[in-house]
Amino acid sequence: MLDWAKKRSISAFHLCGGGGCNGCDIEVVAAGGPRYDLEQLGVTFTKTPTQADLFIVTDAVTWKNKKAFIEAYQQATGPKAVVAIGNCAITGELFRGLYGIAGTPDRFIPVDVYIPGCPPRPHAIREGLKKAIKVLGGRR
Amino acid sequence: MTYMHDFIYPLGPVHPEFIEPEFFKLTVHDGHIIDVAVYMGYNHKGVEKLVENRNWYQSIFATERICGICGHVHTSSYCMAVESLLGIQAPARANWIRALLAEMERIHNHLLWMGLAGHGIGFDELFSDCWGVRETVMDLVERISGNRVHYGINTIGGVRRDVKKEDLPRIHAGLDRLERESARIREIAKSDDRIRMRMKGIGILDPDRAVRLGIVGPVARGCGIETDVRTTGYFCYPELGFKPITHKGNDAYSRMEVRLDELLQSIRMCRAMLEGMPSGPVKVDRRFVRVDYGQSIGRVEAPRGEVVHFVVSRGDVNPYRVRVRSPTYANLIALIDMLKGAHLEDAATIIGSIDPCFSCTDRALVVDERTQEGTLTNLDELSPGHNHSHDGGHAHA
Repeated sequence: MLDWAKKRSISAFHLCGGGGCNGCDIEVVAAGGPRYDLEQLGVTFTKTPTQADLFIVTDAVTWKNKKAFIEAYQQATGPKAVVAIGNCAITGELFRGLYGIAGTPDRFIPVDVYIPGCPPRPHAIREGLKKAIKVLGGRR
Repeated sequence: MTYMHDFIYPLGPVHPEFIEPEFFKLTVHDGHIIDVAVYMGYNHKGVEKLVENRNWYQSIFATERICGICGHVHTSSYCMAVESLLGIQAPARANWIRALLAEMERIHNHLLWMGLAGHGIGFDELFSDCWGVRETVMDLVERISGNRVHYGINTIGGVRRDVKKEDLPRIHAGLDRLERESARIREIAKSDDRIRMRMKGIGILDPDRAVRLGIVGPVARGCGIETDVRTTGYFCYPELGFKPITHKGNDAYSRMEVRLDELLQSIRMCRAMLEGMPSGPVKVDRRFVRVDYGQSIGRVEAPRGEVVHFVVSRGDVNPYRVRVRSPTYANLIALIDMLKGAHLEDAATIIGSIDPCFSCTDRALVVDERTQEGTLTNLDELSPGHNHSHDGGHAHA
C-alpha cells in the first residue's frame, strides 16, 4: 500500500548547475505549469533539497557553483534519482571546455536519465521524468 | 520577532526563490536588513571568450545562448552591430519581423515574471494562470520561428524565416486570446489585496538615485524615468508611435504595474506590426567571411532593460571582441539601495521585482574563477564571528 502511494508521490528539486542559458530552467517550470502539468505524474516541486526524491539538473556546472551544487545533492537522503535536462547538462554543448565550466553534472553526481535538446520541449521532459520515476521505483 | 544580535542571512546560492544560483549575503539587525553583499559569478561561463573563437555567423548561435528568455534581443543587438560594421542594412520586412519577435518575447517574459512574482508571495493560482496564458504566446512564437525558446531567427543582414500569410489568422486569434487573458490577469493582480500588501511601499528606489546608478528597463520606468531604447527609433518602433510607459510609485508595485501595462501595449504593437508589415525580402543577398577593421554598438530594449553589444573587428574571420552589457547587471546595483532597511521577509520579493536574469549577467563579469574557487567557502564564511572580507569578485555597498 505504501509502495503504491509512493509511486505517485515524488518530490522533485530543480538544481541548476549555472553553466548554461536558463532556457532549460524555464522549460522545466513550463513543464510544471498548467498545460504540461507534471503533477499528473505525481511530481511536485519541493523547496528544499533535503526532501527531494528526484533531482532535475539543468546546465553544466561552473567552477564557482560546483561546491553548492554537490552539497545540495548530498543533502538529500536516499533513495534518489537524477535527471539531466538539456544538451549542456549532457555534454556541455556550446560551453564545453570554456574556462568557466568545471564539467557536466555527471562528473560530480550520478545521473540516471538524460533528456537531450536545446532546450528539450516540455513533452520530452515529461517523458524523461516518467523514465526517471521508474528508476526511482526500483530503488525504493 | 526581535533578535538581540545581528546575524547574516545567506540567500542562495541554491535557493528556492531563484531558479539560477546566485548568492546574496544579508546582514540582518532586528528583522531589518542593514547590509547587503552581492556575490556574482555563479553563472559565469565565458561566452565573451567563446565568441572570440567562433566566426561571425557561429557567434549568432553563441550570443543567443547568453540567455534562455531574452535570447532574441541578444542576437538582434549583435546582428545590428555587425550590420553597421559591414555597412549593410537589414530589409524593412526583416526589421518588422525582428520587432514582432522582440515584442512577443516581452509578452512571454512579463507573463513569466508575473507568475514567478505571484509564486514568490504565495499566490500560486496566479502562477498557474500566467504560465497557462504564456503557452499561447509560446505557440505563436513557435509558429513564427519554429522554436519555443531559442528562436534562431536572426542572421546578419536580416531574418532566416518569413512570417507566412496562411499563419496570420491563427496569430491574430492567438493575440486576441492573449489580450483578453492578459487584461484579466492585470485586473486580478491590481485588485488583489495580497499583492498590494506585499508589494506596495517595499523596495523603494529614489528616482534621483536611479538616474545616478544608471538603472534601466521597467525598474527605471517604475520610478517615473522615461528611459527606453525603443524611443531611439530602431526596427519599426517610430512607425508605431511608440511611447514608454512610466509609473511613479518607485516601489515593487509600480514595477509590476509597468510590466502589466507593457504587456498589453506589446500585444497591441504586435497586432499593428502584423497589419503594417511591408512586403519584400527578409534578408540581404550577401554572405561574407571577414569584416573590416572597426567597432560598433548595437542597442536593443530587452524585456528587462537595455542590452548593449559592443563589437570590435580586426579584419578577421572572428570577432576580435564582443562585450555585452545586460540589463540585470545595471539593475543589480539598485538592489543594494532597495534592500537596505527592508524587512528580511521582503528580500525575495524585492530581488524578484527587478526581474533578475543571472545567466545574462554573470557572463559580463570579470571574476578570476581559479582564485575564487579556492577561497569561496560560503558556509564556513558564514559561521558566527567570522570577519568576512570584502575583496574583489562581488559588488558591495
